[in-house]
Amino acid sequence: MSSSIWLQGIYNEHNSMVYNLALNYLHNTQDAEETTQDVFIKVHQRYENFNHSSSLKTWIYRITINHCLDVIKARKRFKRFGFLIEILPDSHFKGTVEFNHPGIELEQKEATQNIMNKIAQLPQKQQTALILKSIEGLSQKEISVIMEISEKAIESLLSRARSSLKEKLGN
Amino acid sequence: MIQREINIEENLNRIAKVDAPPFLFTRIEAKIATEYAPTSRSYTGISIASSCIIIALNIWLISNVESNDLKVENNDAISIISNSIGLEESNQLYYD
Repeated sequence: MSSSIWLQGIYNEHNSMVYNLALNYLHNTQDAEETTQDVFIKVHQRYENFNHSSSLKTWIYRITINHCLDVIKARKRFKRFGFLIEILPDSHFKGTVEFNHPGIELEQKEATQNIMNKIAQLPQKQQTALILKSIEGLSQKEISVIMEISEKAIESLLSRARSSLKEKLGN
Repeated sequence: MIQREINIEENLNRIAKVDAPPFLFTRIEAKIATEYAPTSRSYTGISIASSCIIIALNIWLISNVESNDLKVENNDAISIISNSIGLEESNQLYYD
């Protein structure tokens, strides 16, 4: 089977999941599109090393999450040198990312944007657990398989994430 | 407090799933095609092979110079140099 055909099969089955997860981490369609591309290129490159100890879906989830966290780290590094970017006359990147999530209704946009910005400030594991549970709608068991930690640990991460989020939102 | 928590969960649950843009797979295919283009691979192979040949030639030349030229005794070296620039080797002012 040609590599393009099997990749298209994997893409057709998982592209929506990858794109939406990327949107929920990165809050921006342009970054989500680039991430989706990069994730499927990684799938193509690494498929020979995929040991089938987990399902393909779980493996793609992990690649997507790791890639999104890398993009967020890169953004933070970029922000540190923001003063240099300001000097450049034609720079289109000003360190801040425009919030552009097509899955959010217009009347909910401000409130949801505020919540999602606060989620982005949580520690990485809490952030991942909360996104997978509350936005992606996965079960604790599925999350524990993806994150490779126990269900109890997921429960504790979710509880800490929710209380931190409440604090950050001004309670 | 409970109301606030419900609102957070409600807001997050309301986020709808959207479709990825239709042209994305074409872009992925194009990126993969440029990454695995045979021309770029052959160019890499050629450049590695040519640098290996250059390094091998250099090593061979250096070892050859060391083994042949350095064996020439000092006097021979002096006479070769003096002959090449037309100098007399003898220290005598007047000679036959």
